[in-house]
Amino acid sequence: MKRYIAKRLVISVITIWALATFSFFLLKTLPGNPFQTEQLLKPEIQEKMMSYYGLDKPYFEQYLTYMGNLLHGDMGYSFKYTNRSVWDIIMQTFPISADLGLRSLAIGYPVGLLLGTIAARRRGKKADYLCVLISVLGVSVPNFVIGSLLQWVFGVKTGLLPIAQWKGFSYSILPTITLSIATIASLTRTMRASMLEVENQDYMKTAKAKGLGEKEIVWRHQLRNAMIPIVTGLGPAVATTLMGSFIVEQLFSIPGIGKHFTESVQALDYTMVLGLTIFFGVFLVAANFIVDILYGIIDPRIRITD
Amino acid sequence: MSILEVKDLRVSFHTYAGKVQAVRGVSFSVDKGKTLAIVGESGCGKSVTVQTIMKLTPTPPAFIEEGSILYEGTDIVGYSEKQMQKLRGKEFSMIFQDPMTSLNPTMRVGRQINENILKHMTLSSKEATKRTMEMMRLVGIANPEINMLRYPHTYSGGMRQRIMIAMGMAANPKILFADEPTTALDVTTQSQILDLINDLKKQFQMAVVLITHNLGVVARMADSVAVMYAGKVVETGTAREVFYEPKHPYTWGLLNSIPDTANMNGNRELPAIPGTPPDLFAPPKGCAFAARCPYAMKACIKAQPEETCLSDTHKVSCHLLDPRAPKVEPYHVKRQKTE
Repeated sequence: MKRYIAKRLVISVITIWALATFSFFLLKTLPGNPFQTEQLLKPEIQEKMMSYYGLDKPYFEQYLTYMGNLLHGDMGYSFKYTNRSVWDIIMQTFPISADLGLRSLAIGYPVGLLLGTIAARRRGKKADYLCVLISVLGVSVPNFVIGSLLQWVFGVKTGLLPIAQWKGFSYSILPTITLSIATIASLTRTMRASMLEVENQDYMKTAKAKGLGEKEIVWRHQLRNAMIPIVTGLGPAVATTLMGSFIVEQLFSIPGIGKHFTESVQALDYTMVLGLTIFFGVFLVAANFIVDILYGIIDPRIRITD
Repeated sequence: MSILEVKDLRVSFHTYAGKVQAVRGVSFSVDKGKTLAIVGESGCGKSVTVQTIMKLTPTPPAFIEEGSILYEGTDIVGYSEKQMQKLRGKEFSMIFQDPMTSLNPTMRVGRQINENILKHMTLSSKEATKRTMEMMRLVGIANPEINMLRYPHTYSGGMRQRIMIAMGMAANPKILFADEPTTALDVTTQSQILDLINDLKKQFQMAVVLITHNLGVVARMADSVAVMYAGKVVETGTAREVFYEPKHPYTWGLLNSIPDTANMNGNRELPAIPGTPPDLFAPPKGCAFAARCPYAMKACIKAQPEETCLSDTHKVSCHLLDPRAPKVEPYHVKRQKTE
């Protein structure tokens, strides 16, 4: 186990390094510079800014400087938000997105698993069709439509809940629901398919031949085996959900990290793009690592041995 | 005294394409402490018959159209799911063909055996664990204290089949259904598993219904034999009768296609029964075997043969046994010694 963890750590570091390197040089291939803003700075001023930030130096030199700083934990300053470091911005916005993401997962996973299980148990009956309908709608209707509808019904028409902003529990309800719909939809489908697949396994027949009741068969034999594919998708799902959603955050004016992903690329905010990419990369690698260890708890066949 | 008697059982699967008549009037009986072997080629309804007795085939699509299943004199055809749950595992047990897939991969083997004991016996969990270990020792697994904590994937095929047997035997069933228990195992393991089933049968006076298409296994294990073809029993009798005095051309064909390793000279072709079994969506009006039978007569295509009783135990359904039929020489039947 210790050896496995050490091995994984080394691989993770290499992954992050590769990610940072590729992103750095890819960014440099984009035309333009961070100072071509709406105010149309004079070319002389742009050049001066470039040399002030060291952007006129050869790419490889810039790369070495960046990586050197990164090793010290310094991601540099944003070009767009002057005087604010990338790390500051991440630390201010990420907790809000993560909070929202966790809430939506806490609702989406149980509900999705439940609907998927019900659909599989009631296969071909009304409950099944209803669950499948929910999941098809959830996947195919974009979340800005769902979000806007919720705002209109609960905010504008009935006035029960605040429409936007992030100031307390009542503010989190609508965005949480909006964000969890996609999770519910995809999990219902996966869980339903997985339950049905397990149902045809020989060991389900063995369990029935033992004289177990339906509940015992489902709880002890079917659910745990059906969970295996769900756990596989857990790592990336958690990572992407906690990283915020550009659309949902815009829709509900939530000061999360989501909008920075899009804005920083548009503004060619080099340090910000790189910082966010690396932060997300670390997060994704860590989430997958945790899931791989969790995997062994559910499925003994892939328990980690050295 | 027969412990299980199946009379004229008919089972159909209702599918979109129509009704598949998988079992078309099967009758047999099993005595206490005896072994009945059901033989026949793939798709002849062996497994469906046995799974119907335990009601393991889901309804729909499978329906019992007709017939009775008498267990200790009581007809269990109309039993509800709840009533069946009391029989399954306690009175009847079943071991399956592929031990690699019939154990739950995410549950420790001890717990899988234990589950059966707790369900059917009034034992404390401590006593149940003790019995689990006893059962594991009984099927030849040493150190059950440690081995009961292992997961199925850490065992070999033969060991897993032993665990399946321990699980099936855990609540002292009266009948053990073994659905091709050795097909997925290698030859030496096969032999060990068959010996184990035989030992346990004698020790616990248990009836065994063995499904197989290996006639060597039949000769070694069976007290009586039922030969099935296209959803019907075409010949049934004691092992001696079926092996030494077979009367049905299908039985002749089966016995004839056992490879003869003693007189092999490399030239002899392995005999086979030509043709394929009939489509059970629309079974033929006459004898189902007529199309492949070298002795088929006009009568065979027109009408189903009646069952002829040659002795108390030996029953054959074939028009050749009609007094008006021509006398035919059975094609070379090899004499297999019943061990």
